[in-house]
Amino acid sequence: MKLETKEQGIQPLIKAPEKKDQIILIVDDSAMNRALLADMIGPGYKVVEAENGLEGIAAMQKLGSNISVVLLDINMPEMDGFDVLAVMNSKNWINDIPVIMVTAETSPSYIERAYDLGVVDFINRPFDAKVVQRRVNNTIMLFAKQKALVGLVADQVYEREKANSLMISILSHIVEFRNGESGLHVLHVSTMTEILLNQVAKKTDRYKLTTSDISRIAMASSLHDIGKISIPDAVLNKPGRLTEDEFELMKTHTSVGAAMLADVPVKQDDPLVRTAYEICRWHHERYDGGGYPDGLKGDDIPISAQAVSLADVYDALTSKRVYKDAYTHEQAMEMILNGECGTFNPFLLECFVEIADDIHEQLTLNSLGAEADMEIAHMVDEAMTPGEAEASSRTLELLDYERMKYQFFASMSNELQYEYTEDPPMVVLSDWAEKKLGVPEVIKDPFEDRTLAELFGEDNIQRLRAALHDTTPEEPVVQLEFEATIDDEPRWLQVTAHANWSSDEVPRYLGSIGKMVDIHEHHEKMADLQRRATHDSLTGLLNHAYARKLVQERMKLNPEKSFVFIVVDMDKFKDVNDTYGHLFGDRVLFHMAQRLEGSVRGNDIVARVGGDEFFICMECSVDPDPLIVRVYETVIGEYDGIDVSVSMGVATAHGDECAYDDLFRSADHALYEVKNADRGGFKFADKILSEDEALSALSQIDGEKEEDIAAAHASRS
Amino acid sequence: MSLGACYAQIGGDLEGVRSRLMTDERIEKFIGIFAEDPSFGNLRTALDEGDLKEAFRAAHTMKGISRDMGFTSLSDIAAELADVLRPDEEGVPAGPLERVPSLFEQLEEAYTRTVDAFSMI
Repeated sequence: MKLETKEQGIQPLIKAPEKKDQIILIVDDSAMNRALLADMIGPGYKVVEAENGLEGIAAMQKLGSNISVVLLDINMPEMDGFDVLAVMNSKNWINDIPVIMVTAETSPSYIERAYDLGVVDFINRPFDAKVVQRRVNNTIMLFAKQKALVGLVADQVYEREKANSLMISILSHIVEFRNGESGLHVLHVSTMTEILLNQVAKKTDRYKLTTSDISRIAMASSLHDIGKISIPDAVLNKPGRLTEDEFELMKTHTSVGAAMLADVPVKQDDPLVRTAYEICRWHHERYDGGGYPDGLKGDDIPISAQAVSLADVYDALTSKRVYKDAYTHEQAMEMILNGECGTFNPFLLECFVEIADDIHEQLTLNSLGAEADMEIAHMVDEAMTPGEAEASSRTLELLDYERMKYQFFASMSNELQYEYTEDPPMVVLSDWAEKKLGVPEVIKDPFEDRTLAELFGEDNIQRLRAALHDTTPEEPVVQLEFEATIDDEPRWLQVTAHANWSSDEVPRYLGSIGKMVDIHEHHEKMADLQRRATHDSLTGLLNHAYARKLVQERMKLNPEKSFVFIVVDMDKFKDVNDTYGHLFGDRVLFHMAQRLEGSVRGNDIVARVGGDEFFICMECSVDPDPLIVRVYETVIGEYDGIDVSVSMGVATAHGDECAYDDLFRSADHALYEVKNADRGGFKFADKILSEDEALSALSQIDGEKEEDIAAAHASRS
Repeated sequence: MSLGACYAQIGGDLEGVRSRLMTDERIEKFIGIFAEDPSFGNLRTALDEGDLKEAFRAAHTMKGISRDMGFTSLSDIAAELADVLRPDEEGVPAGPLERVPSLFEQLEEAYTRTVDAFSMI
């Protein structure tokens, strides 16, 4: 394979930007000022105008770093120039979008403050065409160069990183090939070390591990066995047990590896070299001091070497070797935790146990066996192919791409997306919100805003705010449903929002992002289903099951109160159905339900038991007789040409006196006694009947009524 | 009437404007836009309504645009008025506010004179 170095000339990478690609944003409240500036900048550029700070922010939100330069006035309504700069700082735009301040102010305090906020240049009044052109052109050129340079540096760092890890990977594989090891051992140790240390860093700051420390340790872990280069083949690959001498020789791979690194001619103080040294030398030390070569004890052994040591043991156990078969993940775990494979830092073992599943999964994923060599070959090929790795201005392009993607999806989806910051207090809404709801894209002080309050309801906004403040950095997501007013119609919305917390020791609430979805239809359907589950569809009264539940709750809550149960049954309803048809029958039932509801107080319970049988429950502390008479007299009478007559059974008891079912059964029984005595009128139950008593009482009822009763019971069950 | 005659009539700085705006064509174009600019009207309304913050902004804009066009005396009066109205950090105008009516009167006089002079072009 021929190695080619990629040529990277400076001149083609930095070229003067094309005018037509340049967007210039002019933020000024005076139309004449904007016109003058636009005229002076000259044709060719694309000029976007904003009348005040808010519009300016909205334009930046939309166009991002596609804006080449912003010309910003100071004195403006809504949001002034300094506020705009503050927002640009808080959103980190100020580094990507250069700002030239346009001002008649010459006081040093103004100018100093503007520079502090990241302004790159000034255009003073009165405007001078040559100055305006020069300042704008210079700024655009300067930033274009800067962007190109950032891209260049990023590319080189990227290339360098890639080359680094490739070299390490090749180097460590040389050891493995000689070793006859799995070929994936190095990869496994590196992966597991990284997972393990991430867990350690998550649980404690005792070892002061940063993300870059961990990735450096993981990278250096690949070199842990380089000392084995010096071990003779006969010892290294001996299938049987090593003799004492051979083992002593084997042990030297630690100090030899370390010595090799200590002899590296350059970069002795490079963190990677130092980390690799620690790992090589001490990855066979034991936490109790019983390891080699130096017999270090406890945390005298660097955490890097401790983690690699554990990873090394685990992977050796779960891999096949010349002298042993592979153990399963569970067996290996058990052996390590039982101390069969050396003593480890108990805290490290604790971390290991917590993320064992993750490790198992990751290492299984990486176990490609023979394909590993191919993978290396592939990596080499890829790294050597020019073009592909062209990461030019990668980050910047990716950012712009992400912005575009985000905006596209946000405008496609029928949902309102928002972003809120506490400082400055400002909410930015997605396109959709602007189009569908007619609210501006950027709203300052949203909690004071009338439009938002009218749209979403002040209470709802405050409720969402409180819920977000109540979240934690670990669980930052809240979901709420509320009723908004859209186009003067009430609509149910569901909002899902994510609170932003600072990473300080005591996290600060920074703001939130979220989306709102219109769930009105869904909500209506749910409400309807719920209603159907608790109500009778024909009459709109409660159904018996739900009424029973409500009454039971009331009886339990008010044990000392007296409850009156009334069971109402229409007389000869079967004849009505037979004579006039079921449709008419249904109308009679509906009418009956209306009358029953009208005959009782608002909080009494009225339900349809089934068929033509109804149930009323009232709480009553006085003599219930007048109430019952009123019910009876309201219900009977003429309806649409037919005479409605009813029979009613009544039973009363205190809330704690007997069970619902017994009381209901007793009222029901009294009803059938009325029916039995030629129908019409009402009767109190003589006593509260138990289930058995009711059954035997039933059998005593006259034979001629039996059919009627059985039919009524059937309709109820 | 020529551009030079107009500027002479109102004591404006034509040479300065020419050096900054480069062409007479552009100067005439923006004199037209100046005549349409709502700042003066905004200033009057704001003062009538007692909205001193808005009045400051309008006076400030007047100062800027008239200076751009080389209307020196108009710009000077607008600057003086803006300084009187300029709010401090608490939003309180610098004052003295007794000067506002007479300054506005002068400003109106200069503004009318300027707009009238250029309506001939």
